[in-house]
This record gives sequence, structure tokens and C-alpha cells, in this order.
Amino acid sequence: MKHIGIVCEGPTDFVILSRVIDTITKELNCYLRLQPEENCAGQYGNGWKGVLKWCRDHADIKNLFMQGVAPALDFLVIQMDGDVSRKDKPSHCLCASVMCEKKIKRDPLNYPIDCDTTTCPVVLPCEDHAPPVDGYRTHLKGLIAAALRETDRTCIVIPCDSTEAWVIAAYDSPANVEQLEAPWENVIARGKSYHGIRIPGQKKRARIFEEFAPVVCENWEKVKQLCQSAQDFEQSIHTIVAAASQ
Amino acid sequence: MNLRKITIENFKCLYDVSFEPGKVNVFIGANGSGKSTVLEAVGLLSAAMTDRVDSTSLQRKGVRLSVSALYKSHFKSINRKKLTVGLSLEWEDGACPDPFRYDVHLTTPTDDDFWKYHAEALYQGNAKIGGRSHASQQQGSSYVGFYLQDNDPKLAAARKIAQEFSSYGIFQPSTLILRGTVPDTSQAAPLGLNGGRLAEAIDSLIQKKDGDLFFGDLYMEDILEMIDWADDISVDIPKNSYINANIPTMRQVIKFTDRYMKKTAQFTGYDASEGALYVLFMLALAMHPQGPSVFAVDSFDHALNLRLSKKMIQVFCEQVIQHEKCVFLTTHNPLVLDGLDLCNDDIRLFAMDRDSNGYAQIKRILVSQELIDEGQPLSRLWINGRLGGVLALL
Repeated sequence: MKHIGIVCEGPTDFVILSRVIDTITKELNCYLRLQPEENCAGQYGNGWKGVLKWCRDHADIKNLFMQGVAPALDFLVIQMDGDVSRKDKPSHCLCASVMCEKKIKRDPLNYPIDCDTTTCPVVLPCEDHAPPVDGYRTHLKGLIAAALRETDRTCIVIPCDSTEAWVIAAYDSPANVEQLEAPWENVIARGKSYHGIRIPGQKKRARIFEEFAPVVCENWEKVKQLCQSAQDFEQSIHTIVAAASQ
Repeated sequence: MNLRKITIENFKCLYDVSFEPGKVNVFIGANGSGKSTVLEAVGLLSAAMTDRVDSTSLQRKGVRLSVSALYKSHFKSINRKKLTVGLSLEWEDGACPDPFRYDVHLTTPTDDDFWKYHAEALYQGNAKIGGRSHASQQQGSSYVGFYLQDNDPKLAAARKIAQEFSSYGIFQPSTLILRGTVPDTSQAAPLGLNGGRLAEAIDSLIQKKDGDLFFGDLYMEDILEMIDWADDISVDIPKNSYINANIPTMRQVIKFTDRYMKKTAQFTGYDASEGALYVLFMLALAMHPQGPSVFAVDSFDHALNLRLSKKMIQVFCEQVIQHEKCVFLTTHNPLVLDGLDLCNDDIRLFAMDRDSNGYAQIKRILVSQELIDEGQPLSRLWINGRLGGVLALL
């Protein structure tokens, strides 16, 4: 059994990631949901900015943070959805092609406080990261790695367009599922239920994902075939587990 | 109805304080800073305004009964003691252009149980529209509030506050009462001050609509996100299959199914986690249509895990505001603060500290955009002493 810390955008991601890791490692692991502190306005406690903030806040003490409390963490999993790269301009603030006079000074986490969204020079899709899905993954992995400064015993996972793509891959197996935009709104929550699982109020809840999770795990091979992000994730987990056991 | 200002004079450690409440008012402060006394002062004001003031009316509102002399401030620094306890409430009613104000001065009981009305005054804008003074010729009983005695129809608009304010109570649930094994001596409807009648209140809130199960206005799934071990919550009559026959019970019990156990393994509030019962109690208070419009909860975070405290206050604030209620809360849990959206003016945070004379001070905490941008959570600001409301221990 491993002790694994997960920093993710929300509780539904935590459910899927933890169950999938159990499937990959073939054992029941112990998980901690790590969460950044919110600011006074309740911001940055979740979502991609929360994930990025956690990485920054812990960059200096990551190893101590993992080892300094018993039981120690064997590794970290950091998750951010690929749709961040597709639709959130501030995630591209620091990209090379962006010509912005505030580039040095401004912090993407404060966007749009410092910026006017209508005149922002970021153009989406960002030309630095084409083609879309691979580009999203590369870009966001780079963003997280830069915030962490080192990624020892850290698995970065970027499901595209979001973790829901893995759910759809497990249930419906459509081709190009990672290119499907907003899978929750456009597929899962379109009706009152999805494959017999009720979606009250079309609201994302951890409990609904707990019903999805066994199906994702049972069909994990299929999910990997359809989602490069799932394949990368499994590879990354195997590498870290192998390194940890040496 | 919006409460605009509450002023308290010469009541216990509240010698001369006022504050401007919103819809959700959270008081933080060291032990003994006067948080609970504020809740009691509002209870005293409610009794004075809408009823009469005696042990029965105060107990009904959850105000602790003291020795008569101790109701008034007894600070060493006061040379000349004030004769009366003074209370004032300003409020506005959407239908009237001018705000209302009710002032009352009460003398504490001497050789009987009754507080005496020394003076009362009711204003609309700057105009006095009702009241009486100690010297008035036609003052009626000086032991009964002016609101109960003056039926002048011209005061109808001002009287509306009494309907909402009369059911004020300080709720402080007890685990044994929530579990349903001990009766609540404060038998108020729909919920007792210490958690009585929770099963009945929940029963009237759970309903099925269009195939979905609701708890008041919330999907049951949203409640179950907070009580994450539960798969189902319902209300039933006690049966031997889910509660031991030797346990005393009420007429109705809350029945739970644990999602990790077989559906047949049902149990009641007696065996459930106390946190689940507190969550249900707080939400029932906020949502129940027959529940009080203005109320207080002492130690809001009792028995709640830290992340649950934060989530609970978020949901609770939404429901209180949505149901147009007004609540006064105390807490010692920093995570409760992180669930407060102080950018919403309906949600207000007050820190309480004693000055060098021991007088309790109430200070509203406002947070600037610059500080928000700094990324400091309220919990950290409180722990670090920036908000006040902490003991001077290092």
C-alpha cells in the first residue's frame, strides 16, 4: 500500500484518479486530498488556479512536506484538466508568442484582476502549443513543472478535455474522445441520467463519479486506447512506483 | 425586513456597544470576550420588544438566567452605575421609505421575577410614533411591552418586525437530544433550542419531486455530499430492527443507510455520527418555513470536521439568505471563516475583544481587495492575530 497525495481541481477528479491508481497498482492505496488555502474571497482553493497555487506554495518545501509527516507520502499526483489550456487565457500569459507589456510583472493567478479580458493579447488557441490535445498536455505539464521547480516523485496528469473524457471513453468509447469539448455539459449531463445514473440538477458531484469510477476501472484498457492522457498517466505511475521500490 | 443597527448598553460585559448586522453575522473572539452575551442581548431585546421580560420569556429564547444584579455591567471602572439596561434596534421595511427604531430601557428585577419597562420609544425616521416613559400618565402595565399594549393601526408597519423577531432563540444543540434519547426541555416548534423535534422537522423537509429527492430546496445528493458516509436519510417510526429496544426514543426517528454497508443495515440518529445530526439540524433551521426568521446559534461548528465546517457555513449562508432569514453565530473554528464570502455584504464577520477596562468591543471585519489579492485566507489572518478575537497567549 502506498501513501499518495493528490492535488486536483475538484472532488470528482479525486474520485476517478484514486480508483484508477488502485487499478494500475493493483492494490488499495491510502490517499490524501491536498488542497491549497483559499484567499479571503474564497478563491484558489480548487480549480486549476488552486492547483497551480498549491504547486507554487509548496515548491520550496515539497520534499519536506512529503517526508516530514509520518506516514510519509510515497508520491504526489498533480492533476489539471486540458480544457484550461483550451479556454483559459491566463494559462498562456507567459507563453513565448504572447506579446504583452505586463508579462514580466503580472501573475497569471491574479488575472483578470490586473488585466482587461477584452484587450488581452493572448489568442486562443495559443500558437505555441499546437496541435490541440498534445499541445494542451505539454503546455500544462510545463506550467505545473515550472511552478514546482522539480518533479521528483511527482506524477502530472492532464486529462483532455477533462477527467470526464475518461468516463465517456469507458462507457461510450467514441473516437477522438479527447477532442470532445466540455464532455460534462455536452455528453454526461445532457439528460437527467447517464447510463442509468441520475444526474440531479445536472450538477457534478463526487457521489456520481463514485458510480462512474468502477466502470472506468473495469474498462481501463479501453480508456487507455482512446485517451493518450490515460496512457501517459499509467506509464508515469508505473515509473514512479518502480523507482520508489528500488 | 433588514436589521440595520443593534445597540446594547449596560448589559453584562456589553457596556456600550453597537453593530450593524447583515443576514449572516459571525462573531469570533476569545473565550469570555462576550460573543454569547451578544446573542443573549438580542434575546433580551426580542423579549422586551415582542413580549415581556421575565425568566420564562428569557429561557424560551435561550438566554441564561443570572442573579438580577449581574445582568447590569459591574465594571470596576464605573463609578456611577446606570439604572437601566438599554437596547435599541434599527431596521428597515421594504414597504416604508424611512427606517424604524425601537429603544427600550429596562430595570432588572428586584424582589420579583419581572423586568420593568423604564422607557420605550418607537421612531420612524426622526419622528417618534409611539412609546412611553417612566413618567407617562397613560403607560399601561410597566411589566408588559408597549408592542403588546398599543393596538394603534397606524403602527401596523412598525409592528411587522415583531412577527419576525418574536420567535428569536439561541440554539445550542446537544448531541443526546439530537440523537432523540433525551427530551428537549425547550419545546419550541419546529425545532427545540437544544435540538428537539429534529426528526419531525426533517420529515417535513424531505420530499420527492419529479423523481428526485429533495431536502428543502436542496437535492438530497447535496446533503449526502456533506454526510458522505450516508446513502440515504429518511424519517420513520422506531422499530426494533434498527434501534435497540432498551433505548428510549421519540415518536419519530431519523433513519440512515451507510453506503459501505448492506441496505438492510439501517440505523437511527442514536447510532449515527453526531456531525451528521448537527448538519441536518443547522440546515433545518435555515430552511424550515416555520422556523424562526431571526435566530442565533452558539458554537456553530460544534462536532464538525474542519472541511465540513467550511462547507457547512457556505451552504448555511446560501440558505439563510435565500430564505430571507437573519442569523447570529459564534464560532471558534478558523475554517468556518474560510467559508464566508465577505465580498457579499449580507455576510458579516465581527471580532470581539475586551478593552483595558474589560468592556467588550465589537468590530466588523472588512477585507480589502488588496488583501484578497495577497492570497491570505481569513483563517490564517485570524490565527496570526490580524483580525483580533484571540487570547493574548503565545
